[in-house]
Amino acid sequence: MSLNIKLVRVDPRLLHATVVINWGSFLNANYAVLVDSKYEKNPFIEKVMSLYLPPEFSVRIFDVDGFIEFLNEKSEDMRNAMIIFKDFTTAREAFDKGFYVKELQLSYPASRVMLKDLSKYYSKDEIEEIEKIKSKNIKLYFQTSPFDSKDYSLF
Amino acid sequence: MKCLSEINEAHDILIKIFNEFIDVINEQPVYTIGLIGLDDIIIKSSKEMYVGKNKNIIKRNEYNTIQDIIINNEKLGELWVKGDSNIVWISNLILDSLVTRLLYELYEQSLIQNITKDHELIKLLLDSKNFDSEKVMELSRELNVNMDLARAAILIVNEKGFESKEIPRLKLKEDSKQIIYALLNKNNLLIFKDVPIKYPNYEVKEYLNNYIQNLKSWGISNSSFIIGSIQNKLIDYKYSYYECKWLKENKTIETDKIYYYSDFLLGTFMDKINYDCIFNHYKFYVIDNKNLDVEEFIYIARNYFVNNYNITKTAESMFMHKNTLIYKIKGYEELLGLDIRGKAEDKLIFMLIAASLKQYQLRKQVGELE
Repeated sequence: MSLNIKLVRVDPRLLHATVVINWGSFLNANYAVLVDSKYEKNPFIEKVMSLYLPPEFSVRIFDVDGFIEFLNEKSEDMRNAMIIFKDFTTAREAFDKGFYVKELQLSYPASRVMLKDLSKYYSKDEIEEIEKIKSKNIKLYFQTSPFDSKDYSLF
Repeated sequence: MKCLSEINEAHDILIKIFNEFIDVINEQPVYTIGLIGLDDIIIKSSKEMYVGKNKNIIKRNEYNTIQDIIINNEKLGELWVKGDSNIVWISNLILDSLVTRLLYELYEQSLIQNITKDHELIKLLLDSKNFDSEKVMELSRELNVNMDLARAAILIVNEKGFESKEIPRLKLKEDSKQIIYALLNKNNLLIFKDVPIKYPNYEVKEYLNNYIQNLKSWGISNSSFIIGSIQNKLIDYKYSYYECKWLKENKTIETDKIYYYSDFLLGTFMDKINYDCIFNHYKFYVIDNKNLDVEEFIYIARNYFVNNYNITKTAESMFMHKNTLIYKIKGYEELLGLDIRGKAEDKLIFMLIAASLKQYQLRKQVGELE
């Protein structure tokens, strides 16, 4: 069977209530792939992270290389996956190594009403990474829940 | 959370999922966790010896944390974590995962309650003897079902059985908010899908094909999809379902394919014809006639029909010379006294004779006839 990527998101908090409840159920996902080198190869943390979701939902943590290997992994089951990158640099590295999606979802760094200028909420390095990602023909947008519309306006 | 039953439900789920947390923590002996009830008694712990003890046995130092478990502004208990120098970080992670998981389970529970109501509505809609319009209206209103929309039945068959946990989430899909649906059993999922009535027939098919494609990419895989007629009134939805059921029971249904009852209408009608009267009428000319090749007769009639009674196309499809085909059909015309190449009525009779012969052969094969 294949990997069916349902959502690709950058979220420093990785798994949390907004992601799990809003997106897990809505997308009918059964796989959460967290890309964060900090927790990679820590089976205990991976297991605690797995507790965010019921047992039929798999949670895996990879660094970028492990993630790229995972993408090419053959599986018997249909993997409906949410992919969550810890930060822009991790996401950009994955794109550099061959991963591609049309769109990348971001969590709002502040209230959407207040959000006017990216430089107020992201560092210079982060904005540089955003530009590099955009240059790969990947659209970035803010969205909290499936019932909100995608906000592309600041990109 | 407002009422007591909701708090109790959350509490029951908390106790159930806490066992999963204990299993994970037990793999890392440096940590101990405990669930403390509102009465300060430890209800569950990764170390059995603490269960039933008052929380005042827990030392207040940098290796122990006790944090409130709060769901929707309601305190359900406390989480105790004992560990090493990472205690603050790890206890926050465990608390966050516990609260998130609890919220997730409660959300799934609410979805299941809704699908139970959908199931109840489907049962009422399929009741062929008594259509309880009052109850149907009441439930429809409760489920926010727009009763002015036209809908078509989609029967989804999965030989392995559906994942019962994913089905309640179906209504979360943007294009599924107005569906009425139920798992009839573990292999059959019935959806009454709303269809825009402004669409002409061919666009409806495109619309439903797209919907099914979305269902597949959402996660309903390895299934076959059978679609009945569009119905405008809730009382008539059952007819759309009966069509799907008929197709499922009478045709070979393959995985991942879409079947429209409307594509099988002729076959359905043909199945309902009493062939005995046709067969008996022509028996002398066809069965008792030793010179007639019955197999060839059926083959020619079927191809003639499929090719829209066009002699040239029929001959081509059978890899037969056109004149040979005309010669054979002329033979049938003389034998049966029919104008098979001319009169529409006789063309139909020709096809019905072939169908009756086919049925005769089948009955003979299974030993029904001598």
